[in-house]
Amino acid sequence: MLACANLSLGYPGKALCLDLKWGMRPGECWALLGQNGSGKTTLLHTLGGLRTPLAGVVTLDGKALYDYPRRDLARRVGVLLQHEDYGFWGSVTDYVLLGRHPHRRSPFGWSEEDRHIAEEALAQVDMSWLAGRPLDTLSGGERQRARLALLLTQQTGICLLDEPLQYLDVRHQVQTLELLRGLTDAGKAVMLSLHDVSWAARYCSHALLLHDDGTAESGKSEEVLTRARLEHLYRCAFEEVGGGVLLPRPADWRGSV
Amino acid sequence: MPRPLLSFLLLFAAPASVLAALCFGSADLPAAEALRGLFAGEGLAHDIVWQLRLPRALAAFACGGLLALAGALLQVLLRNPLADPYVLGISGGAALGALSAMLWGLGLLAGHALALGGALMTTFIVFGLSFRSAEWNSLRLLLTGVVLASGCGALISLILALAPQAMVKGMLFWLMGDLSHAGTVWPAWLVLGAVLALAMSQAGRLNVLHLGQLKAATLGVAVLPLQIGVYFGAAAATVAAVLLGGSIGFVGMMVPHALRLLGVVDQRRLLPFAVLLGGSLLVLADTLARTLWAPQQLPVGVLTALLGVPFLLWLLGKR
Repeated sequence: MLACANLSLGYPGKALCLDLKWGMRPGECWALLGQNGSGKTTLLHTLGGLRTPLAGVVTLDGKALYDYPRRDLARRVGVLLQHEDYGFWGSVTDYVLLGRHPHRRSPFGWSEEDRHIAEEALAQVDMSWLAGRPLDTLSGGERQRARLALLLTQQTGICLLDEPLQYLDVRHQVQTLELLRGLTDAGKAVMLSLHDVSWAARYCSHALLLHDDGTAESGKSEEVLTRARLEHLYRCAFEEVGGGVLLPRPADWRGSV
Repeated sequence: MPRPLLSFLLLFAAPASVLAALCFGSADLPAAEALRGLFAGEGLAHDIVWQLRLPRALAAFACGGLLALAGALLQVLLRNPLADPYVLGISGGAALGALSAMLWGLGLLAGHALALGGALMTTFIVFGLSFRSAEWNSLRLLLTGVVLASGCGALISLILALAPQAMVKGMLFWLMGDLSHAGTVWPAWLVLGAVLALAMSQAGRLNVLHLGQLKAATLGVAVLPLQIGVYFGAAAATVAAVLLGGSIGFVGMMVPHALRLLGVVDQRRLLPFAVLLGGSLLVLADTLARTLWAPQQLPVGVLTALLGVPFLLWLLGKR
């Protein structure tokens, strides 16, 4: 279980998250929602052990993250970053295989098992036919799927994904969300930051809302993703367009509620 | 290019280049005679091969291997394809020390000592200014190195302007790369072996570091110790190369690029291949530098560029 207690995040002069108490169990899928700049990325980095909080502690199975050797942590918690520098010169397969780095046993090369896992991950994101292509020749959406494949290759019990749907077309957005649902069905825990509230309501069992005043709300999606809470979160009016789907009301896009 | 073929070619190129260096030179010695001298116990051919050509070929190979290795490491550390061993100002510091020694009329040993002192000073200044608050910023490292190199360049220009005319040619040769005064070779080979062994032990992590600091951290790499190790490894390789052959350009930046264009991207292969290709290239360049205008010697740095530029342009055109 990944959890945090009394967690405070921020930068000098800007509090992003104050006294957060939260936990994620195996099989749960959490949507992380909030306005731009509300601290979603900072929180995901902190939960992934990439950033030190201002106060509080993040624990994994009751033990503080900083007590884990970095390699052990990478075998248990995978992070899909929102931005990644693209200076990689190799093929898509070369890239995806790097997800096996925390599990590597031989310094001389990848095992057959590693290659098989990478091939499977590429197939899961519909990228097998691009396996031999240089990474730097892919489109933005294809790169995003290659990054997802790398995360799958890492085979961690906990996956933290920062805007995993960016650059993806609608079909691949659904494919990715179904893929993440498959991970939670298999007992893994997933948290993803999103901007589309309807996807969050449809695919995520839980939601964590980060308000821009540093407060947060969390719980089951059907309890948290209410019209009133979303209007307070995004400071714009929502309306139900049928089937329980909430969308911002066009007339109020320019104003606040 | 298929990997086994490239491996074979590079493994073949290393001894072939050294053999060529033994067979050709400014002395009027036929190649067959030079080869006999290699195995003979005494005689003129034996002396020329064992006392002149072989030490120089070994110096050239070590120097080229060190520069290519340092370039490959720095291109990963800085994540900048334009990085070369001189980008951190190390050669500028060494050149400042060496040229100062020449200007003051100090001997070869003192010149080496001052060059080493200058190189170490710039290494630690760049490190000290780049490493702050337990984090590493590649851009700050690059900028600090470039600024320091510019400062050294200005002081070198000042020395060249103030130096007596008779000294200027020797100074220019040092700046363009010159292996004719290469002294004892074994320290450079020792550094080459040590840095290559250390780099190879971290090659898997270097592959991951290529993805960026944060991504490398998510994949279980302790980024900061690795970066510090790469920095000092590359610095040691550069210092050893500069002390041996002065500022020989082109090899450090272009050899890793050429290998990548040939399809070698995995650091576990790229690092040893860079040593083989860089070493072979410099041995060939130095052999040409000794023989083209014999008995006059050309600066080897000019030859490395003349050999390497068409090759790299051809590779770029093919890609």
